[in-house]
Amino acid sequence: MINAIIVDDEPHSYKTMEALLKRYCREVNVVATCTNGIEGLEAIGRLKPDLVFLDVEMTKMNGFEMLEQLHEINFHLIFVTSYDAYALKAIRFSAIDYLLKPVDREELQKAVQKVINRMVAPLPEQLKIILEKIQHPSASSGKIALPSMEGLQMIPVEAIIRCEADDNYTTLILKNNKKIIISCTLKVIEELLEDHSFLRVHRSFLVNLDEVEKYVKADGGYLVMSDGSHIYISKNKKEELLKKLTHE
Amino acid sequence: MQSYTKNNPGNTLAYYNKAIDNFLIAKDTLFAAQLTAEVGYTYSTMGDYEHAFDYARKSLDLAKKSGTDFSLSWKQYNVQAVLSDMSGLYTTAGDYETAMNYILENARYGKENKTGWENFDGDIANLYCSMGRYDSALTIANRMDTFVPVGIFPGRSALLGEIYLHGTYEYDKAIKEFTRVHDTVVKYMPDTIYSTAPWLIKIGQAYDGKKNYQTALQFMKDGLKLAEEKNNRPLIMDAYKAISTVYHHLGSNAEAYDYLLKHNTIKDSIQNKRFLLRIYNSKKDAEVEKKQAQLMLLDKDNKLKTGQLKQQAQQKNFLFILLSALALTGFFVYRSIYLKRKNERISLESKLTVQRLESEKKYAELKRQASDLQMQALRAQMNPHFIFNSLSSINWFIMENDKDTASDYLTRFSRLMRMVLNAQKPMIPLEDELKMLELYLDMERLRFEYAFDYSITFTNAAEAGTVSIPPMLLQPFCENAIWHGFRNKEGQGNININIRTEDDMLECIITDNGIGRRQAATFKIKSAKKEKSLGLEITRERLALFSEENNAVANFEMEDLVDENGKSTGTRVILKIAYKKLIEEAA
Repeated sequence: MINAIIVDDEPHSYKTMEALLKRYCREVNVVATCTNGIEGLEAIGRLKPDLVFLDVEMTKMNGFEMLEQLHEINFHLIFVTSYDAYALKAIRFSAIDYLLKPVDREELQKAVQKVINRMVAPLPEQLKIILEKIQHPSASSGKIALPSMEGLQMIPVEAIIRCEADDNYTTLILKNNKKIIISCTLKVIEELLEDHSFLRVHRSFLVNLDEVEKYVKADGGYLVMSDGSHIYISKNKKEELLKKLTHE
Repeated sequence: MQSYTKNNPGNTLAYYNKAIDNFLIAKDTLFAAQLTAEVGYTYSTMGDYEHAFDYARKSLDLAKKSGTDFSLSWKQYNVQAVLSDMSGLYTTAGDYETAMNYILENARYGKENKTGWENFDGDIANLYCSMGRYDSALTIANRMDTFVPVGIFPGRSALLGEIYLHGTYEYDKAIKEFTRVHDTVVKYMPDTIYSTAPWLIKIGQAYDGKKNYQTALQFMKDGLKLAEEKNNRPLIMDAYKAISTVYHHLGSNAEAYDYLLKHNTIKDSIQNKRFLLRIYNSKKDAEVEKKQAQLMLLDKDNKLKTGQLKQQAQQKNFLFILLSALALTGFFVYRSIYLKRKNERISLESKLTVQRLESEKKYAELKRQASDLQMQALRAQMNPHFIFNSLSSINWFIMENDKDTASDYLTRFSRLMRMVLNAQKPMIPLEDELKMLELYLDMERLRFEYAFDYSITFTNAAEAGTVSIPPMLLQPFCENAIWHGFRNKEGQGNININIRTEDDMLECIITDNGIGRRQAATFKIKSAKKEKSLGLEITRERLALFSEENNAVANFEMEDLVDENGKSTGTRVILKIAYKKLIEEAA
């Protein structure tokens, strides 16, 4: 049995979550419902839950502020949000699970199943990533959490020189000559990094514009990156690239 | 000597240069010319086009000047060989026009001197291939003699292979032709200028076209090895490029880059700017020389004529007439050129004016679109939070089996959405705006389980049906009151929207008894901060835009309400908009 707490300040929202869990996720036992972060902190300390459903948009101490107050997290976490582009981006950056309101029954079941399969609490690094991303949405000093073959990888954004598509995988080429294979598509990574100085210059290549050494016009145009690699540019991306390179 | 040339170009060059000097001292220009040409050719196989070009020019000079000590045909062969080299060099430089001129000059020279070397179909067709005009090349190839004696370089096969490979993409045919060339070269002309490497590379390219990548690589790497042995840099360059392409097709990007990089390095070093510049300058020199020669000829003629006393008078007259005719012609030519230039300038200027006007028009159009877009975006600014939260609430009523409330909520939501979507006009009647506001407030009341009440009042007889305002102007203030004023408030919230007309102004006063802005700010969601203030920010911008466009007052002020103890009792928003103009607009 998984003991869970719901932290959400909208009555319809937490009532729905309770009802959904009761009906479709019998493994989950809701031990408390809190309507703000302060109550949430108190309940977590007292009840030591296995799982917390945390609403992001609460007026009195929101979900992130509540997490900031915690020294360590020894419960599994699923964010719940209706619509907040900033919050969503930060959550995705950290690779922590989330659900969108109105909550879909199947997605809820999937998320709970994941918790059952590997009862691993989120790493402190992942929380750090969220908080940093919220405060500095486009800072490249932060890290990004990406799933690799061995597990979750925390990669400093600025260390990425370029990303190469490989069907459903993406190879990241980092500054220290390291290559990491990430198990998600280049499109996903492109979306995640859209606030940073990255540009998809080719169907297969996403490059860090800060790591461009030079642009060579010959042979249809290509980039020389800081690691000496040559990156071809699609015709239709040339204009956007040159604009970005010259106006930055 | 031939084999010595091909295998160790560096030593050969020194040897040759010394030999040339000796021949020159001995005034044997015939030998000197041939050796100079050979040096030039050796340079070009090394990819040193700059030197190759210099030597070719020198050789051409010597060959033309040389005597005919041994035989006339030797001299003529020398001239033609160098002309052929020159066309090759210009092809390398990408100056196809001059290359073609050299070929034609060569053909003319061959014909005039009856050397038997006057058919340059193969050269012309190859030049067409370089220019990418494979159709023209094929036409020529089709009229070329299909019979090639054993042991002679099969030029037609080489040409057809090129056409099949790059022009028609018939790879099997290309492989057949190139293989024939390769076999002939290997069997009958090893260690001559017909290197075996290019054919291996080309066969590889054809296999690449057939997607037979491993075979392609095998051929190309064999070719590369041969080219490297002979330090033939242009061929090495071609091999690198071809191999890079195959790796690219194989998806081995690392190798593809590697070879591309190597290719680029060689390319940069051999086709350098100095070579191109030299070729260009030489072309100009040649033109100047030609003109000078013509002038000298004319001068000679004149002298001859003036020398003949008998016809002096006649000739003077003739010359006078000729000169005046020339002057007249010159004048007309000059005039027509001048007029043409002027016309061109005028048409260019008018073109530029048209372009400028067009760009101005475009700019205005863009600006209009931008403002349209902005208006649309502003109107559609119904907060996504509201939409998704509404849907969540409907979901809850359904879960709760509260069919009536769910249905009520859903129909209201649909009505509101319809009104928002219909509010596409820049102005809508105040009546409609208030209806939308009521629907919105009703839904939020239901969602927050009646945590607040609202009222809409009219101070004087503002006619809601005749006054028009920009749509969705009041909703952001109400949303603000609910989200920040009431959600953290203990007890019942209250919101009043008062409408009144004062002078020319329509005034809307939105008063709430929420916790006040200062306290609300401490609860503000960090992440949502931007979106929340965005609503008010956008409204402020819209009003400013409206004010600018209509030259009328449109703004709002926000104030905190406090009681006598200084305790916050809520927020008041006063929105003013010049409504008289609006009536005119509506009418």
